[in-house]
Amino acid sequence: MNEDLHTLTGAYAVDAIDDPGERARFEAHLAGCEPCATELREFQATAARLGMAVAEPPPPALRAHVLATIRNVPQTPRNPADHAKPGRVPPAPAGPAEGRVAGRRADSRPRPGSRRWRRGVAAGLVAAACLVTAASVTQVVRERQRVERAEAAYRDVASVLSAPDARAATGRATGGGTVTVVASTSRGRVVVASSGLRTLPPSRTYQLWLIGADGPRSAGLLPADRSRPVVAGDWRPTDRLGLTVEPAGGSAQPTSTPLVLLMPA
Amino acid sequence: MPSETGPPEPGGAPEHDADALLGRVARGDERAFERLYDVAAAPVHGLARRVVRDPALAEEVTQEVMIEVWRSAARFDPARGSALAWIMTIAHRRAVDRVRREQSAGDREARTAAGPGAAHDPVGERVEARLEHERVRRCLRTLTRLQRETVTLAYYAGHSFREVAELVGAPPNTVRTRMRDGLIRLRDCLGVER
Repeated sequence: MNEDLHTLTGAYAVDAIDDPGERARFEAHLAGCEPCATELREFQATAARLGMAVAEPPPPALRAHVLATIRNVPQTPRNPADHAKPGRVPPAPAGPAEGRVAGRRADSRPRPGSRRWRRGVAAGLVAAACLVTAASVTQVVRERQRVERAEAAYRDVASVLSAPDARAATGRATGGGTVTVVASTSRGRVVVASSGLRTLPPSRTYQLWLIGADGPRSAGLLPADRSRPVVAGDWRPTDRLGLTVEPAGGSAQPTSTPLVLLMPA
Repeated sequence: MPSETGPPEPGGAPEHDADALLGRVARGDERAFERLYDVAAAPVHGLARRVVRDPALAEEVTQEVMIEVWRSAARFDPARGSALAWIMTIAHRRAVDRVRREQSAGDREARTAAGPGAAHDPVGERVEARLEHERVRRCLRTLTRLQRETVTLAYYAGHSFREVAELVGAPPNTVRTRMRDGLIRLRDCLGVER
């Protein structure tokens, strides 16, 4: 047993080796030192007890947020190669992961010049967008039969999608994700479906806006569970639909540049 | 915390619950994940609060860790330890990674200054006097002062052993030996399974 490296077990167990080279040397040593591996596991279990002793519940909103997020996070299959490595934890993903929340710094600000206007969507796209949205509605109803309001929500969505004057637009949001809107003047409502929008920290929320000649009107917040399309009211024929990031609870007026601006036509 | 399955039994054995739940999570069971969240989120968040200090950052770390647990559940091997130990190991590494990244962004002095005082008695007033809490506190007291300081400065404040050496004014080699000695004593005092 290499005494010098062996005494690093404690430091390694509490993540106190900040030199990557030194950490790599210790891990190499660990692979061939069964007593070290055993000791490391014991130390990790010991350290975990230190952590559990300072337990403090996170804000309740985080729970719904995490539970909604994992539905879109694929699970990693078991990797047999990991089996040989004692005490390893999965490495942090190299790039931004699905679960990575938007920082409160630069990356939550839309980049300048990124506004997207979509006009003149072809009639074929209308049908396609309706199909996509309707499919997710079907999925919602199937998955959430126990949710009392699913039926009512479905009727609301279907009423817009089936309107003879339904018009659609789809656009990519700054920072990732796609937003589809289907609007019907006769119903006076819009259906908004999104996919792949970046996960926000609990302190932020996505807010929809209907933007007409006399300025933006709030059309409500996107729920954390974005597998369901939302129906929003008060649609007027010349409106555009905008999506912004706002403080939790929403704002009376947009406080950031829209991530996407859509004009169903 | 509302949930259809309800919170874990107060008198139950969360360790064993968590092992079984994590096994189900590995097979994609979302309900099991909900229950695992109810068992693990508070320890993960409490630890993240200790290490990164900033409440919003701690929430982000908690979220990242719980999502990582979902993603990597199949890699958990019950033969190598408990589910909670595995989760807390992930949580600590994430929190430390985050704090070192933030540090390089510039608030090193502030954190270092707040370190020893705040970390000296880390199992502090904020937490209710639970049995586990008391047991850890009692066991920490059985360590020598240097053992206790090196372990808590590394674990609760996220310092590397070289930073700890500077903070306590001891050579790095001494610090890493004391860290190990301290963990051995804690392990034995806490009755961690060998």
